[in-house]
Amino acid sequence: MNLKSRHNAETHFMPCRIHVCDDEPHIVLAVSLKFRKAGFEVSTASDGQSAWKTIQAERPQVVISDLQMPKMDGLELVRKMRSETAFENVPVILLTAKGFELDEADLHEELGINAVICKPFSPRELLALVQSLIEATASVAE
Amino acid sequence: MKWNRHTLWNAAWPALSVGAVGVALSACVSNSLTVPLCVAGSAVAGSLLTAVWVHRGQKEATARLRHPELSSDQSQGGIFGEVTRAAVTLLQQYETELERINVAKGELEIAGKLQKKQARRLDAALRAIDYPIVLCDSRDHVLFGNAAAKQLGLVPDETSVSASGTFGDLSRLAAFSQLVKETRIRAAAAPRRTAEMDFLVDLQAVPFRVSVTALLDDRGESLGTVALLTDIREEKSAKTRHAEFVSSVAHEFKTPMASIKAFLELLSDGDVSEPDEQKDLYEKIDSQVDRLNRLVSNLLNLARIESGAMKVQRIDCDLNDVIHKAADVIRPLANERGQKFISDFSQLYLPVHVDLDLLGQAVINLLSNAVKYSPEGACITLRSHMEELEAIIDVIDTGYGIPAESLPKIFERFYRVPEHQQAAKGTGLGLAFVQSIIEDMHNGRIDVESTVGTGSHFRIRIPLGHHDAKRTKNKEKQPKAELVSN
Repeated sequence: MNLKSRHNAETHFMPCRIHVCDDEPHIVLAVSLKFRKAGFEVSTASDGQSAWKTIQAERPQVVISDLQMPKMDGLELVRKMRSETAFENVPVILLTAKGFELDEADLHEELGINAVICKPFSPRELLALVQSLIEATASVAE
Repeated sequence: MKWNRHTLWNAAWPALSVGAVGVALSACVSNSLTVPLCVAGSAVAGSLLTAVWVHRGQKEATARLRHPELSSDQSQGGIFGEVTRAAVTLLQQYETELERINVAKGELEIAGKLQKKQARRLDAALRAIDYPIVLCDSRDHVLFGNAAAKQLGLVPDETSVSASGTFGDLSRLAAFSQLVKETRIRAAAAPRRTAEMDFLVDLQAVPFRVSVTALLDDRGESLGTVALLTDIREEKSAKTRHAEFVSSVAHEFKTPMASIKAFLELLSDGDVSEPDEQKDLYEKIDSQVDRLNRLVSNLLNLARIESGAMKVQRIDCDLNDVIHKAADVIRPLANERGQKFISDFSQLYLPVHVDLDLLGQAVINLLSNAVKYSPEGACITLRSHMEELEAIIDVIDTGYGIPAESLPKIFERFYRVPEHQQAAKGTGLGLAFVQSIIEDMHNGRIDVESTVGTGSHFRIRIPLGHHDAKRTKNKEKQPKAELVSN
């Protein structure tokens, strides 16, 4: 069973939820299309503040966030998440055009950011990464 | 010759008289150098005269033996005359020599004064230089530091002057001291060493480039070192700005590229099967390519403006001509969005010397922003008038307005008001263009006032007046690159 089919089988009654947050609507659209097609429930936001509200309401299993956003940037959003028990272990992927300027190891250590994906990116690879993160989280829970 | 009182007196008087003259002259000159010289000269002259006298006396005695008919008075008078002439000649030579010495002394005094003046001039020059300068001796002690160096604490207080006459050492500033020492010790390998160091200026750490040069004499012996410090705040700031600019450019390119790549992959993976959805994605890809093209054009134009490569064709004209054209371009766009467009042009002829296309583009950029960042039903006003010696263009909207914290940044390249990013597309370069066109190319000024929820008011000021009607009247315009509004 490949990852995708296993994921679909296990989440038949309760599909996985992700949150996509980016101030560039085309990026939000592309990611949403890819994940919805793969059976995910997708919530979206275009700035950090509304993202935080949506995350609190929707409780996604993975958060995909841009770095530079109006009102609240991606790092501040992650800090908010880590400050609350409910979201301290939710996997976060930073999707940014400034990935080459960031130290992924530091971000992982300080904020528990699981991966940094540089734009331009492959939706296909992003999907595979999210699936692996969900699988890893599930195996830890078991 | 028989020596008696008479002959002894005859022998001594020339010496005594010349010696007396010498003493008198030395007293007149009254100089520490010339007194012994005069006395010695007098003594030598006297001795010479005595020798001449003795020699002439012997010759006279011989002549008297051979010619007894000659009277003694005659022979005595002859010797006296010769001795006197010799003495006069010697005195004349002596006077000439004294004159020469006096001239040389005068020249030396003038040279000394000039040297002192030159030293004072050099000292004043070093003190006047804004760059900190420190001169150290061959033991690395500070000999001199100008005011700028003192401000950095590189010159110890004069109260710490040591017995050796130096101003103490540089142990307080270990890194600087070490650089000075290394430069002096290893002068043969590298006579100049440079390092970047921070010094406190008004309690703030300021970066300086320290350049220390070893000073060597003709034989290669160390004379010490001279250190010149340069404040590199602006240089570092420029580098930072450049890095930020490159980073912003990369970000601006990557964002549309990311959309294009993602949409293409969705299409090729079959994630979008409906024809309408596919068409929508192709259109989005097309718009992102346009966005990239717009970005490239804007960047190129901005670079050409800033490097001075953009050809500016300024002509004498009426400012109203410029804004009429801009109004014609924007009015349809405002109408499409359900906005009211008001033209309120001055009835007066507003003489200006401007580039019609560039200034027109600047006004179009402002109007375009007014339309993009105003809701349906808003009012856009384009107004011209004269105020003192300036022609004024006002672009006023009743749109979203710009938050106070964003106002100082809106003319920066790539800056976009965060609250407006969803309202319209943009590269964040449009207002940077406007500012360059107005301020760099037309000696004008642009100001902005804005209140969130009320709207914005941009004001362009252009100096009034024609430049040279005859010269520019028939000037043909060259085609130029199109400026793209953001």
